[in-house]
Amino acid sequence: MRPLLTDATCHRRAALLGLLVAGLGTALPPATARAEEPNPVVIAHRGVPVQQLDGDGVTRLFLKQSTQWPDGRPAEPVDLREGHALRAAFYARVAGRTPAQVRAYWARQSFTGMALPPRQLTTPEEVERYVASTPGAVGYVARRPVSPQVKVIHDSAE
Amino acid sequence: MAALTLGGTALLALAASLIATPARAQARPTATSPMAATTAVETDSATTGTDRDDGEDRSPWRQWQWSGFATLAANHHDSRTQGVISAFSQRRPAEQGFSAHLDTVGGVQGVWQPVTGSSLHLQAVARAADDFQPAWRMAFLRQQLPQGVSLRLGRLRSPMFFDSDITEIGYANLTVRPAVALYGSVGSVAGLDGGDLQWHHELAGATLLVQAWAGRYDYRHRFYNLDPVDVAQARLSGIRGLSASLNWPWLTVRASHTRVSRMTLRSPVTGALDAALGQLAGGLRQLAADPRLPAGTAAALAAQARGVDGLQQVYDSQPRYTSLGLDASHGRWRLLGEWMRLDTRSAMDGAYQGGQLTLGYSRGTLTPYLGAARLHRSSADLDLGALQATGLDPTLDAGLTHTQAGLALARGYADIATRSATLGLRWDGGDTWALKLQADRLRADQASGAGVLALRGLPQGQPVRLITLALDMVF
Repeated sequence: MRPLLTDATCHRRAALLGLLVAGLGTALPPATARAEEPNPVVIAHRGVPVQQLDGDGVTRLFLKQSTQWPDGRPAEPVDLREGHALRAAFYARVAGRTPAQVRAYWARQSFTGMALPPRQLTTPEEVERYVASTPGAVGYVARRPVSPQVKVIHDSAE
Repeated sequence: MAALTLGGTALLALAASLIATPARAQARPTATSPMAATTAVETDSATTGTDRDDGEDRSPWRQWQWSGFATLAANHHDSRTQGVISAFSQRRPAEQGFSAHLDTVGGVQGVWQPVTGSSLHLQAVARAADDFQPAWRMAFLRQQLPQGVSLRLGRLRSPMFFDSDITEIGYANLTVRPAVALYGSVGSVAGLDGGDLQWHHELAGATLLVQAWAGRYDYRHRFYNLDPVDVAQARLSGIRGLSASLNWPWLTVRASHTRVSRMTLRSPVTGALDAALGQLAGGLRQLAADPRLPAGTAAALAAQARGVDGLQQVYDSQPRYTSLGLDASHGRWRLLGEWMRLDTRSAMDGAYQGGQLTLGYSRGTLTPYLGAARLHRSSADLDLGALQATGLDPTLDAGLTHTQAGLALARGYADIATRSATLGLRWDGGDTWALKLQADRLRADQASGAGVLALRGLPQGQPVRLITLALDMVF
């Protein structure tokens, strides 16, 4: 009677399986490449009644699941443009979402008429200026802000 | 009446706002990507407390913001007798071989927000399945009201099931399309002409969204088994529904219930069927009036005539739709699930229960996924006993037998219970597009039923193996 699997066959199959898994691992890009990632710092207008916010709270603001500050005044999140490295880092670290997941979320919200995404600005400097001049605004920058009109409410490095 | 009053209030508020503040300062960001066209729209809170002037054009025309979505898709299957559809309103099913009919679609959206809290939303869609004839998917006024309440009036996307409003927005779907087995049953009801009220309320760590809607909707329903295909005017009136969603950043749970006071299907074929049933009932009454018949027989024939009359407008219904769905993310994993119940309250169509699960795993820009869905017919009690031959009149009996056989066949075609299994890969290769390769295996839940498929005849053939390559874009 012929054995179902010879030792040599087992070894060959194990080697082939290992090769496939290894190949898959190299074919797929890494989930995140954090070594060079900027560190997003979430800032808000000085007047908002919040000193610290956890990641979930920040995420809810930027997904517009939360639209008001605790005092009832409207929150106005401001985003960086699509493709900005800091934007990708912000959503990866704070919201745990890839840029594609964020775009898909807003495609759903905007094309169904349920909500519109936050406004987008081009640079972190514009974001800081905007947050400083807009009551209720919240954004993210790459370093501690210089304007006294804003305050840090979440630091993803901490 | 209350809805009308609220609608009037919203329109008045919008008009008053337009007159009072024709060009309120809006700090418009620099449009730096295609999606920025969408995101440049002022949000409800966007101008609150902002008194800046960046010198841009403030004309009303500039306050329109445009965006859009598109899917270019090719399908292939090898079933000669079954076409694949995602809705019974679809003019052209995906036939044997290659086709672009099932998923190819383009949509353009314009939003006009002249003042904070008021906006006009327009969205037109053209589908390959409908020969690219444009149709309005959204045309509504939105007014933000106090206490987290907002009102929308006009044409909305259908809110019936968890993913009803994004069935044709490929980019917003993880998969090429929501499971046909479930969504094929409601895919034709793409919109709602009426309005809704939304109430956002923040709970500890979550946001509660309660949505109530009311309105009506018309579409063209196709009976694909007839040659030529019979096109019926479907009319849903008295639609009213309620949903509650709980949203966390990593989980959305939604429960909804929708009732339709009356759904009618009218076509030349349904008209001819009703006329035939009327003649048969008349013949039975005439026979029952024969004084030579025993009283018991005459009474039975009269009752049979009433039974035949009761079969008229057999496709009319008062459907009720119930859904409980979730969308969960955990790290790289994503789980979509939904349980639904559709009770048509029609003996012909019956009641259904079903569910679907889809699991995805993201690694970088690649997301492989798999899913399964089943819609099961839980009851169908169309009684064709009234069409039994009488044994008294050969001509009448021939008509009764012929009609009984026809309706028995129609009962099979009305069975939309379907199963599907899906395996696919999504590649988010660019900023605004995703490429998907998906394999589906579709078949009617029972061999005697048609399922959500365009069948030429029953019983159905082998399961349909559908391959789809789709490029989804937003701009």
